Amino acid sequence: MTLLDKDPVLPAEPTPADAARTRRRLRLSLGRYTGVVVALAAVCVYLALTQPIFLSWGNITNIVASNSVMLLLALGATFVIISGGIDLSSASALSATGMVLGLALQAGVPAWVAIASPILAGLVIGLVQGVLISYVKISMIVVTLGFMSILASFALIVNSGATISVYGTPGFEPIYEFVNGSVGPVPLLMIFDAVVILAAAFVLRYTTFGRSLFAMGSNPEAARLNGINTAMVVLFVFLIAGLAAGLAGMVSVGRLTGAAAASDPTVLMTAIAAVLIGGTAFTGGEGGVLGTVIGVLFLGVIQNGMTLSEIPAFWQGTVNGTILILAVGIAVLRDRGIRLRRKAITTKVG
Amino acid sequence: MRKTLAAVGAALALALTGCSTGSATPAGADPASGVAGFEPGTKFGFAAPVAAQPGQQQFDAGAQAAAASVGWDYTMYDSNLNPSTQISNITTMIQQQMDVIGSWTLDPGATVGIYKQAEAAGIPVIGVNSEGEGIQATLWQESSTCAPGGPMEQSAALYAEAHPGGQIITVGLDGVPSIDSVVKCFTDAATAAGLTVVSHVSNTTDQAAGAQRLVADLLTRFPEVDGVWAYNDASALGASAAVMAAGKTVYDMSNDGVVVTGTNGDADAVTAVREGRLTGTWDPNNPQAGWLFVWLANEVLKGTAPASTVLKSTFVTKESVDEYVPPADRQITFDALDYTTSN
Repeated sequence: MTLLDKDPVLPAEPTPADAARTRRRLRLSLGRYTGVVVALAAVCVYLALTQPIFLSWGNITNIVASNSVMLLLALGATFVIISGGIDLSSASALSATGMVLGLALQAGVPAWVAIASPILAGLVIGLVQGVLISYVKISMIVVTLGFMSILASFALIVNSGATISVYGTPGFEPIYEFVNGSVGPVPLLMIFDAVVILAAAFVLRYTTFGRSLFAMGSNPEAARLNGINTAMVVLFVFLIAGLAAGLAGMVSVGRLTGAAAASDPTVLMTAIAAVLIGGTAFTGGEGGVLGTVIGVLFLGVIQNGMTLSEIPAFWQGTVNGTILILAVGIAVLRDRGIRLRRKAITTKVG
Repeated sequence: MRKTLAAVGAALALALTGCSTGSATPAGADPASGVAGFEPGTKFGFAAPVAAQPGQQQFDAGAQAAAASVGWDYTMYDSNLNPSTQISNITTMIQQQMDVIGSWTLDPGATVGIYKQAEAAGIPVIGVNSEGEGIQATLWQESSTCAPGGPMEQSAALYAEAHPGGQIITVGLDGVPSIDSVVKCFTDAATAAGLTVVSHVSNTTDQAAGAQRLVADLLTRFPEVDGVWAYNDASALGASAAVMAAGKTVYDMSNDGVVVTGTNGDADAVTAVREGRLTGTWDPNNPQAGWLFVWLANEVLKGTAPASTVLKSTFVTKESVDEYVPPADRQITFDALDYTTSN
């Protein structure tokens, strides 16, 4: 799960020449991130050469700030996808939690209550979904599909489809300062993103829950037989996804100075694409936070680069789709190469 | 949402450019006396594009109030942005033997057949911001048009007055003919006013968040930009948020900030104007449009309808925002409507 991910250990006794080759491979390999990192580097080099302001600090912080909402949603989706599932409701949850914050601010509640409201709303959404999936045993697709509709509808109902303008409300000032402020040249949002990334990575890599998640994603039945409470794991996964949606709702409202009732139809697919581009397996059991961060960054850089380069919007879907297929395709080819090497070595040893 | 709404009337701007502005009071049709000319019990159906949109709700409320005031039986059918549903709704209206049908066409190519069916059944069809085969008369909202001296030229003049020779970014929704034509209309007017459109972006999400990302990106490339023009209020508010996040102020008719304007007259946009976060928004006067819609339907039934009726829009800025009356609070009568007609 590190950037210099090692290839699987080979059982054959290496010759000195093999050992040298292996060392070179370890140094050069970026593991499952190879495709996206190489492509990201190529895009960055191209943009740096063609757009002088691309590497400016202002543009870099702009890319980070513009993609914070997407990062939060994608981190939530990472947990769900590693568990072997998918959450179709995240974009609607973003709108719904944003509207909850908007209503709270409009009602004039204190800032801390307002800040807590979307987070609590997200957790409740995650809790209900988790219970329905884990204990009522309704299919995850059905539950999240249903919630996608319910939450989108909720966001429209609560203010008759209109955006809630929160600028100037008593509790909004701290949120606005948090989302748009900075410590020296470093935006607060960048620091917040870093903390969330580290927390997510820690949970995924260094907790029993995280290890259970990978086990369940790889083989749910085997995980259950090994004593993992898979129902509880799924419940926690959706609590995390709900928490992520709540935080994303808060950041979104802070950036837009308003809570938008309508869901952005592109958000869901972009979040899932970022997770997959980052090397998390759609089949579950494999993936990580770093990959998702790279995936979000990559899509953000592409979006920024296309805007700066004034590439027509009609082409942006083609570019994003091609990148998704290339990044995942390179990972698949790499995995196939590893399997072929394993097979060859096994045959040789046998 | 507005993307699809705006998809109707592909040649709107160009068509209206060729029209005369007409007079404030239409010849041969006095709305005040028209109230007496309404036939009570007339059945009037409207194929709305999407009832969930606030502007549509205001339009519908206006039409309902107008119909009630003259004893008409008005029914709105929600197409929910689905052309197939719209066709089904119009079929239902034909079967219910409506006296007149109104339609905000979602897909001009798909509805020609059903309009012809209505015509064959002796039911006239009125277009709302839509025209074409099968439509006998059209109601336009001025903010969607490109008439000389109209909203786009007035907007361009505002940008030029605030920042003579300034740099402008336009936010559109490429591929939607009616929006493309309005963007072109503003771009031409801005160029004629001595402004330079340094960049154009397409807000494919049709929402504030998408516009904010795009404008934030462009502000890093064009940090000295003087104005952002947006095709709707959601995009304008996203642009405004990006401008403020970049540490700039928004022009409020008295400072030297970045000019940001939108169109729709949404409540949150008006609030933003009042708070100095948006320079202005074009209010299409949706409730009045609903009233004018009923008046036009009656003119069609009487055989005296003009081909084109354009309702005046109102530009709301910080200087005029105190005069703004929320749509729900407007006291509207037929004789208070401000419109022009042409054939």
